[in-house]
Amino acid sequence: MSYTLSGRIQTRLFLIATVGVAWTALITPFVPSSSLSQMGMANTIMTKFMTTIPIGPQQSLLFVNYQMTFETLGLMAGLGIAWEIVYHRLQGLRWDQDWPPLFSLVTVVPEAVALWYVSWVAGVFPPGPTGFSSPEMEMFVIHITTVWLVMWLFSLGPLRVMLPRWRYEGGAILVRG
Amino acid sequence: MNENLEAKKVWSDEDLLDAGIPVREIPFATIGGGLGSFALVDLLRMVGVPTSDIAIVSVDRDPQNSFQRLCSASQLGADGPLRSDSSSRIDNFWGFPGYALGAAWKRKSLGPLARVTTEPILAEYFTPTGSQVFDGVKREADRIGWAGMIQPGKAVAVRRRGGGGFFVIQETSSAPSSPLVAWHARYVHIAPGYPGVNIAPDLLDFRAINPGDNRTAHSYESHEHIYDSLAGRGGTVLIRGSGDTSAHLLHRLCIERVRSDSDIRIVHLIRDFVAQPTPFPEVGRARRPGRNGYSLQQFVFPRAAGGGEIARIVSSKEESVRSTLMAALGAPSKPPIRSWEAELDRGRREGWYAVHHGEVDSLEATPDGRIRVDWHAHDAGTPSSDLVDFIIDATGVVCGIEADPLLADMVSCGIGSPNPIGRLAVGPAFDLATSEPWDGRVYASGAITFGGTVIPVAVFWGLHYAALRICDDLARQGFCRRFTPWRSMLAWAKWVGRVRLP
Repeated sequence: MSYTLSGRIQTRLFLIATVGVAWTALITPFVPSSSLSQMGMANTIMTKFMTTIPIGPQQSLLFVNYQMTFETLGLMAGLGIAWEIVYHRLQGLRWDQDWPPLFSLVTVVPEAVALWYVSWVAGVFPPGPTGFSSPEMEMFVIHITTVWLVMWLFSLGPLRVMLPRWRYEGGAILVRG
Repeated sequence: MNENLEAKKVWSDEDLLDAGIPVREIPFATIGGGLGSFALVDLLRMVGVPTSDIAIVSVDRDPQNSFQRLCSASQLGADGPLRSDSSSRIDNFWGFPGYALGAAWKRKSLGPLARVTTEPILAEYFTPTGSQVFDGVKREADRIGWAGMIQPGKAVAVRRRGGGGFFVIQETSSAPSSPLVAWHARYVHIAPGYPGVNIAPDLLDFRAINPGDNRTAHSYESHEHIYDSLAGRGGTVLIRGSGDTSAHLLHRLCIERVRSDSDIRIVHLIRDFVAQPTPFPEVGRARRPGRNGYSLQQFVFPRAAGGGEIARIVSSKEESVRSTLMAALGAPSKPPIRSWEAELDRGRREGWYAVHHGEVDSLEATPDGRIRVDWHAHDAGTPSSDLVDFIIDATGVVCGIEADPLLADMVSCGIGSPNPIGRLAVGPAFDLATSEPWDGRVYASGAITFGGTVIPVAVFWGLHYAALRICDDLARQGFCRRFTPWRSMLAWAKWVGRVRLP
């Protein structure tokens, strides 16, 4: 795919707002929940759905998990704008000035690492260790890698069907004419 | 056509009646009937235009015919790698599923998919073959009812019609002075492709002096006998040109050399010799790779020339800068295929392949049945000469208004105007300007529109892009519905389900 800078940013925001949000909504109840393990409860989907009892003012465990995954997703969109500027610069070093699908896939690695730390700093996760021992790590990794994969696969096919002008306009979602 | 009629720039219904040319009504006519017409008609059918509203004026029955001829003449054949990628799929507007997915399904292998998702970093580009394209086009043409829209015969004129719209005059058979018929269409599309091959003047001279001599050929002329003779007796062949076609010729010769074990020697002359990577500061920091005479580029243009960053940069330039830049970006080049490079490296090492930066001065038949090629080296200007048995010229095709009588006539009668490089100037909707405001529109797509703001017009990508812009414009004029996301998804579902369009 050969993106313009504006096309890149639009594509990212569009993918996150559509398949990103849908996938996060779908998967959150199924990812291992840190809040549950902290409470010493069995980490099963059933428990999560049953524990819809508010644990704070209007908060259930599922709500807490949703809050975490959606906040991470929101940060992925926000930070993504900066990442896209970096990618755009790198793309300019290629003669074809395009962005092969493999690049779109593997960039999840640096992005996830940065996102993990930024999420901590931004207070998305409850205070605690930030390393591999963090109880949120598993949830974060499963959520981010799957949401990325789904968005990547979506951009390779369904997006072109849904927005037939997208690939002819450097990745722009909003196309005049 | 009689002279009275020919002299008039605008025709009335009575003019045609007087000339004895029957007039048929059709809302939309496309002239050409190759892949350019196909891309547009496919889209129009998908937004619901009935077959009864479309006339395809063409000498070919099937849309893939002319492309198939070009492939076979240029040594690509049905199985050679096309200079295209998986998602530039002319029979599928969305490029999804791409040719790679089709190939994976057919071969029951994940190989093509692994390749297409890791190209061009871990693997070389997945490139479709001619037969994949021919088969797909054939199937899609069948699905959209191509045969019901085709009007066989050559288009000889397009003129404005007094009172609005246009007349397309067509011969109704291939016989000389065959009866003519006129189509009265409000919208006309023209996708003429390449009208001819570019034969070097020295080669034309040689042919004039030695009529009937079949030792010289243009790459697009039939020249199988040259390979047969070389494979049988060996010999030396001169190749000219540094484009994709010359690379295919060299590959074919290397194959023949190995297969026949004959002593086939190749002298290769390149006028615009590329010895090192070329900088393009206007479009970015990267340089185009180049070595041994060739610019190396996967596609005819760098990828971002189609809708990406290079397209954005180039379209923002002034017209004069833009046309120079576009020509440079699309200068002859070949895809960087490792196995091809290895063949030629071996040829250089073993001394049966020699490439020079030079130009032919003259060709002469020698008494002992060979051809003497006098040429001069480009840098030093030192004259040299070689004795060869055959010459294959791969210096390209011609394209321009002047090379096509139909287009020249159109322009002289107030439909369209030349752009700075002598092709058709087109608007943002690939529309041609008429000399005065007119009811109805004429559109063009393909190679004839090169030189405007869109760069890769003559490749699958460009034919689709033009089709989309034209379809959008026709929707604005009320001829058809717009290709919206919803219609796109619906059309895609029908494509996947192989549902015939009504």
